[in-house]
Amino acid sequence: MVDKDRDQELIADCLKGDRQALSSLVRRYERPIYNVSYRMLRSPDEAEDVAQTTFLKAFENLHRYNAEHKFFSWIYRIAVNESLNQIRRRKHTEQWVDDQPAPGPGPQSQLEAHEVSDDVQQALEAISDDHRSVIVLRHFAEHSYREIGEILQLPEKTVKSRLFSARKAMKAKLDSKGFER
Amino acid sequence: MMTQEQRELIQAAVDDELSASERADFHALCESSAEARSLYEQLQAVTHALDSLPPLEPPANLHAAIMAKVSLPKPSPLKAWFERFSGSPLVRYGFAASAAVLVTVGVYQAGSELDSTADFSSMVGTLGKPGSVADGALLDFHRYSVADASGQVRLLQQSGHLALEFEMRSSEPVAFSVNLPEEALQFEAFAQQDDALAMLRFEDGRLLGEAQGEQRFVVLLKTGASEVTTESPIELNFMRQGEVLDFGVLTPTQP
Repeated sequence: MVDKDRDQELIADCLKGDRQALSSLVRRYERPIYNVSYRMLRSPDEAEDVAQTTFLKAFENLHRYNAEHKFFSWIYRIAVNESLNQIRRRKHTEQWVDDQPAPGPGPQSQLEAHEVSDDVQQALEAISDDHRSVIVLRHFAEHSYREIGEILQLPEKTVKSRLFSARKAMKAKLDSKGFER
Repeated sequence: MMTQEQRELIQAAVDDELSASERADFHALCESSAEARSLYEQLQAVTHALDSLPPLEPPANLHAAIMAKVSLPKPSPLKAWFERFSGSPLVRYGFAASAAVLVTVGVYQAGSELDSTADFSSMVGTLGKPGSVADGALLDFHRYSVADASGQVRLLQQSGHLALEFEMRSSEPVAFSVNLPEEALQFEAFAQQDDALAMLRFEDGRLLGEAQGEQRFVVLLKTGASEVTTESPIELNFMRQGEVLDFGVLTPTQP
């Protein structure tokens, strides 16, 4: 879990122009933000673009950040929104990302991971954007219901019901693929 | 048939978000209901399936790419003021005059509507029609005409301030930057007549913007600690898609 007090210290230093603090904030969040973006988009290139855009928007508007709220809620919200925007652009231009393997350490392990997880990733891609958002934040960013609510600006009760619906949708997609573990 | 509360209880068990009392309720439910046990197993299966997706390492150059692009906003005592009022009709319709007293940039009349989609996040000051800014002595000017882009930038001396008056015309977007001599001149405020500027911001001693169509706006500058001399030129760059369309230099001293 992210140390929120440390976030606040780093943000305060960033606002004084401290690029070392900026670097530390990027280090703290680049991995989860990239993972969230990738799981939303299933495209390494688009996930990298979204991750970059997320940080740029966050830091360009850092002076607008309200310290009463958590920094991670803010930056994850930007990442999710940017991913959803990218999905809309993709639909608009009728581009479709297909069969793009997840980035991994090497071709062989990448292939094995692909074999194991391809059905799951395709099922994730096949559910609605709203469902995928809560699934990704819960499973790949490990946020609590309350934190997901803060990120997506939804009541916690809505998060719970949406997550339940999302999992049922995932289960149906996995069943249709004959997925078993 | 299970209630929504029971379904959420089972889901909370899968997510390890049960309180002590909820945990007891969950165990009681599972002991009494085959449907509850089945649902728990289904949700667990989905969770395990998702857990089979490995965490990914971001590209090795992601950190460097971000660091190369990010420039931290410069803190400004005027910024809070601008942001507080930039969305208010008071700024657009009449507050400009009193605001100008606060920031000592002179008196403006009511300005035009702000473009709510434009990025003025790093700007401070007030807004108004360039025509409402009192004319000053012309110190220097730069005219350009390249491809579909033409216009001029006039450097005016006003009482205690300098003003850059932009007139830009182009059918396609033109990016521009104004490099201010370090410490000698500082950005203070701007006034905009049209509301179609795609972006205008100030960072690292440079004013950056992008314009399309016909645009007129004024940027006010104040002198810094150093004396403004002919050694303190203001550099102008007009660009499109990374290529320089035109370049000019304005000298902030009386001819």
